[in-house]
Amino acid sequence: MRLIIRGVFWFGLYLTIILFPLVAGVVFFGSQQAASPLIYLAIATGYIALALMATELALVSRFGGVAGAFGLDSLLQFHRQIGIASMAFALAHPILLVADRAYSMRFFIPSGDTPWPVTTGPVALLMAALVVGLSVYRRQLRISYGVWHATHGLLSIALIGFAGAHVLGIGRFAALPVMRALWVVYLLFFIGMFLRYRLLRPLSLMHRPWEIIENRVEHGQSNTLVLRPVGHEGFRFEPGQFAWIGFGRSPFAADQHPISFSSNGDIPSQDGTIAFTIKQLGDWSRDVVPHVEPGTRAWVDGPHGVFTIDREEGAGYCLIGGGVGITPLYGMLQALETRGDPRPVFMFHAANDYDDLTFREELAAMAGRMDNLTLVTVLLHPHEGWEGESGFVTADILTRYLPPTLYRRFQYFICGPGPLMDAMEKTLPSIGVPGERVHTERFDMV
Amino acid sequence: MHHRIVSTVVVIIVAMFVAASALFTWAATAVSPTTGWTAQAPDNPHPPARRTDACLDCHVIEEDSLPVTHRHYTLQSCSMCHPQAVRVLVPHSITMGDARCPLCHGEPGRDLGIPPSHLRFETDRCLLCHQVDTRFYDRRPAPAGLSLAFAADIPHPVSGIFEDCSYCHHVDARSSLPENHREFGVETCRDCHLLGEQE
Repeated sequence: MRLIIRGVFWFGLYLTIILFPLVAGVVFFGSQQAASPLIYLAIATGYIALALMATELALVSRFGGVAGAFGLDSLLQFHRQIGIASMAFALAHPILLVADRAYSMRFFIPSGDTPWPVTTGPVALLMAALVVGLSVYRRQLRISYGVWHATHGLLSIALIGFAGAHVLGIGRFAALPVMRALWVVYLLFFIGMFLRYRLLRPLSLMHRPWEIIENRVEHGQSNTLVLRPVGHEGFRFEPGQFAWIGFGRSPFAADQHPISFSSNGDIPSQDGTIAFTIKQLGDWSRDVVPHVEPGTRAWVDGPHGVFTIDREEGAGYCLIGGGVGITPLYGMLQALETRGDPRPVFMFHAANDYDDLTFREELAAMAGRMDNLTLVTVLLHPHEGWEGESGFVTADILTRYLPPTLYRRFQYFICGPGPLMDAMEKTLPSIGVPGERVHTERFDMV
Repeated sequence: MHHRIVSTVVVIIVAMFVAASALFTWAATAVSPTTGWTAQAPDNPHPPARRTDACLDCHVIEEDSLPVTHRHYTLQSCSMCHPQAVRVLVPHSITMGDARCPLCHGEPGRDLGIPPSHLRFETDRCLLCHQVDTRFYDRRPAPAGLSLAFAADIPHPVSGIFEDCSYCHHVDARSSLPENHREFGVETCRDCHLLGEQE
């Protein structure tokens, strides 16, 4: 309930921040702001586009309160979809201006004698198109995550700068002192967010370095990195959470990636070591992670995330993991074993083939130790003689193992490839599991 | 969180923002004609029934004798904003003397003729009723000067992009200049059009 209240609060605050300039524009409307309806509409879409883009950073700047209410993966998804929507609002702005007879296309093609407040408009629009386009088509354009992340930040800053100058320079509604003050506050808020994200946060990490002490090869083209804190005690985390990790001499230069913990957060070992298991899926995980040597300096920003059994009460747990998505679920199982939790736990472990089963030995050993754990392995391409389940994880497989009727009161945690999570989000409600008991985590956003 | 819930929330939010844009447009349009514009609209300088009672017989948007900013109004109600002048002030210098008024303001039928209701007055007594208001004219060009009397106040900011009149009131096929202003240089707008009430 408390989480719902926090969610409603942040949602209301978000809408207020976006829409307040429009309300102020009407309340403080003066004769100098008078124009045609199409221009009013263009102004509204332009304002909303800029406000949406300026608040995008706040969504992903790892604010504990916001991320705690919604989960960082949901915020990333919201960030991505709202970014595309804000682009549509931004495009509507010049289209509506041209649709009004008083303006023509020549205003949107800057020339030498075009006043700067006009020029900044199309430039901001171009920046916005680049920010959105590079994010949506990064893989097709074969841009590495590191290059994309750096350009994403720089282009976004430039975009907000040009758009802010455009609004203040054009100054129809920004001519109102209250509106001008409001936009200055918004721009200062944006600058503050950026400095917090790119300056204060790395600065805070600077005093909490980590060191790689082991790089272990796992099944399924994965590596487990074991890290120990250097000069500090490390931290505890809830099973299923994740952290942003990067390597390098300084946290400012480190290219950070969100990775789930694969170690037990409940009882960290005496020296505070933690572990991450990373599959070779992208340029960083394929080209950098396998070659990280013990002794390498690492930076860990965490813990983050609401994908954890500690926040969801249930009669039991059903964990469904595919590929390296087993990582946070493995962390949950370790915590449940450590706690001696007597509730039934069902682990559906899916993979392409036997060799892809990351942690298969560890899970089998755990199933031997935990009487309440049922381990079901599902292979898409089983080898000859395989006696376990095969194909995709389906309602038939699930209901064959889960206890009748009681399973509707379980909590379900699913992590793996998008198609697996999409399928489970449809399958589980179809067998009577309430939607609010189905929890997924997605980070494959760009 | 269920990713389809997030997508649904995004759709709802975008719909709310579209609705908010429409609401803002409606609200701004609703408040436009009643805040400031009435006060700034110039008086109708024409004597009653000089030629016709219908404003739109002469002022038609197709001939650019209405500002483009007026094209969204219900133009049957011109007098709501442009009241009839009770008494026309002389909008130019009188260096030529009172007795010479008839040279321009002669008999009915001429463009600047006196209204029929004034035919009973002596034509060298004009200034007895029509005072000269020096705010309304510029001495250039000599000797009569340019009338400023009925140029509308500028109803928008004059800083930023609005500093350059030509960016909105440009002279081309989509001109937003009235037909009778086409010969004026756009840099001279503010010679006649004064700033609005907020300046």
